[in-house]
Amino acid sequence: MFAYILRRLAFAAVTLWLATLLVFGALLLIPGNPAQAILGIDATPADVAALEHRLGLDKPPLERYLNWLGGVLRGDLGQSIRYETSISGLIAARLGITLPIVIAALLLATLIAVPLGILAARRAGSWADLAVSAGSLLGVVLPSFWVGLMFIYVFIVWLKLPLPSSFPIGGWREPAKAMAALVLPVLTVGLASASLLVRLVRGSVLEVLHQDYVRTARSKGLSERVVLYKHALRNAALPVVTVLGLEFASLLIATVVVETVFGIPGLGSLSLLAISARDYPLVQGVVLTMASFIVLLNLIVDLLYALLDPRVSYA
Amino acid sequence: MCRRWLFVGLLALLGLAWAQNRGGTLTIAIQTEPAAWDPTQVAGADISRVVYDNVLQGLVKRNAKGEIVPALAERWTVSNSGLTYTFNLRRGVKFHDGSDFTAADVVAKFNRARNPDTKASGHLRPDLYKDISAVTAPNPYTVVFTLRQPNNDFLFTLSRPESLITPSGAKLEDLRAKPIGTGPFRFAAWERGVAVRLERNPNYYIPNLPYLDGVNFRFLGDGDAQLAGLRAGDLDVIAYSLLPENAQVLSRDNRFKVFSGSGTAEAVAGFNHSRPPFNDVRVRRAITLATNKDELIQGAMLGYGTKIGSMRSPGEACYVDLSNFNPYNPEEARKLLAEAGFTAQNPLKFTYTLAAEFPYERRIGEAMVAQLNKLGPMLQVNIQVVDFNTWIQRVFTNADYAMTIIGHVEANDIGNWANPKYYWRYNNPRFQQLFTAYLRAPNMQKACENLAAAQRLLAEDAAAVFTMSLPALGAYRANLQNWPGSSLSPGIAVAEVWWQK
Repeated sequence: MFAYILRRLAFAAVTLWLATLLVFGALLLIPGNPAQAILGIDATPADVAALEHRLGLDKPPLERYLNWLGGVLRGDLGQSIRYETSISGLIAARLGITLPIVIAALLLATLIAVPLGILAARRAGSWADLAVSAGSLLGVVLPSFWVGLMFIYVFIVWLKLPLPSSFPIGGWREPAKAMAALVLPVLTVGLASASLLVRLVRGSVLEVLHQDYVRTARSKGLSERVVLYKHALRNAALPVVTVLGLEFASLLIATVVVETVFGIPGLGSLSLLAISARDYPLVQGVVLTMASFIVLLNLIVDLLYALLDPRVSYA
Repeated sequence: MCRRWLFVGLLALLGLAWAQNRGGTLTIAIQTEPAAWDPTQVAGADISRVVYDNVLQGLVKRNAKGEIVPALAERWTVSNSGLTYTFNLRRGVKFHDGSDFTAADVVAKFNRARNPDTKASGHLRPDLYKDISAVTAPNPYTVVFTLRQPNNDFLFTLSRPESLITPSGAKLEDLRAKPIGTGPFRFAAWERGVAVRLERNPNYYIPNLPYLDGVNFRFLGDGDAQLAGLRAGDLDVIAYSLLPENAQVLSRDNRFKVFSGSGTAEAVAGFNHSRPPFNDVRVRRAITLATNKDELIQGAMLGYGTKIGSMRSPGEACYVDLSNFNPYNPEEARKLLAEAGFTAQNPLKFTYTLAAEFPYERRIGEAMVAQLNKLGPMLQVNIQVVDFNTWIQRVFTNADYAMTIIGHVEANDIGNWANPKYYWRYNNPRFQQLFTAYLRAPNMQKACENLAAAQRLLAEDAAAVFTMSLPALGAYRANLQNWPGSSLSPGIAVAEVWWQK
């Protein structure tokens, strides 16, 4: 098991390094220049050159990349070009908003999807199954920015619930207000994620219910409850756990849209800003952070998989 | 006796009115977040919208009507030669850091501004100040500017965001994240990605101002998110760039007031004059004649916007109405294209580059392409949408484009056409002569004659398609009083704005 984890960690490190390389290369290819973006269109070429020099952008790309990588290895993500402040500080503050959204949304999705999925699988073909399937289809096809806007109109504008439409100025200094601001984004992202998950749970449970061992358990005269919770669900959970891990990653990315709609200063909106400002070190820092989460989650999923399914070997 | 009591009573009433007007905070949505807050070091309209006349002040300022009025200078005189400007400064003014404002700060500022070595000075635009030969302070409350040659834009230059004055002792690096000025509000905090907070300056030199305790400028780029924020109560004002369809929604709701003020932003559909096909005046005229500006204003902007025909908005000085100079005429446009050698077999093909971030310009550009493609097989226009940073590099810096559209927000920016290196690459010596004649004219009447001729020349030359003066379209809560409304000042100055309780 230990060697397995070690091997997985080495693999994760290589993945992250490749990610930095890809991002750095992509940024070299897209047109645009952070110095010009900062100074605006009234700046002269001399001003732009001066600022490029101050920011170290006149150095060759390889040198810039190595400098940055050296910093990262020492635990320093560097300074943001646009904001002129520490990148790790920026990212930490943003994660403090995005992570709660993602975790709460994932919890919400699980709480909705698991019971509904089991219900639909047990009564496959019934009206309940049909309703769950139709509802989940709706959740999958409706774009989250539209759903978010509709939520704002329905809950805040029409029903006049005391929820802010965007993250409050001052942020977590007013925790109640900040939490209230996250309700609708969590609902938006959570419902979309639940729609995906419910189909998976239904399919997974349905498949397990048709397995021989379930038939055996039933023929032994075990109650339906024991069959379902003791035998079927443990096996049905495997693909669900995998997908939950992947969902976390895609939710991290889905927040880009939702954070824009709800005016939330999270990691998603930071990544958009970093790209549009061509803030190279900041883009790299954000990508590295997101990639680290994804890699870490994959690792956890793999380990959980091994725990849940004794047939998976660590060799 | 009676009179004295009347006077005391009046004072009491005034006091009551004053107390009712005071207090509260205001949250204003603006579209983008600048990279820094010192307009002498970084360009960008949103810097000025926040700090101009709220935090930072200059010798003179432009008010909401666009007039140049006193700010830190109480009054000034200009010598008959037009070469000496003498400013008498306001006394007893303090910067937000507690230091006194004196003539020494003004002298230091303009010596820094005109230093051609921008690397050393950190000041963006020495070109604006190159006519200054000396700035002196005969005493702590008098400043004298001596010019090399008369310049009719000099006062205007002093009213620009680049001419705002900060304490001579302050470190430039610090001013980028926290500007220090003399204005009615102090810069309290910048929450990156969220908002800027300003708080009331208790030592402001005009008694009783400002009325508000604080102002937040919230960065919200998405038009629908702005609308939702206003309706949900998180925002009090959408300062500009309200989408026309959202303006219609809000104007039916009596909790809000929609305003469409005059602005100084011309939506210019510019050609690249440095290469074919747009080095040919027949092609430029054809495109201009094939553009139906009335339809653009009605269709793309739902009626918000004012038709123009040259690089000037109706609210600006020396404006000439040329809006019907090149009237919509697709037949004539086809004829001109044929003269220039384009046929159905050999059509004129080009790419129209739009910057994704600008909602007005983008929709006007897209509607224009639909109109142009109606000319038929001899003309084929493609749209290319790029992000603003790409636009700056390709279009603005490298002039690697055929046609594009952008809003030129700055007031009095017709002078860009006199610069052959500007991204349009328009190089017309006649225009350059007219513009210089405007700057050096002995009086405003002569100056305006030259500027009128310059505007007419741009229209005759079909130098660009000057589609419309963009509206300063916004909305605010109905109980907000004294909102400035128009966009003729670079700043959204809120010292005199108050809440009706």
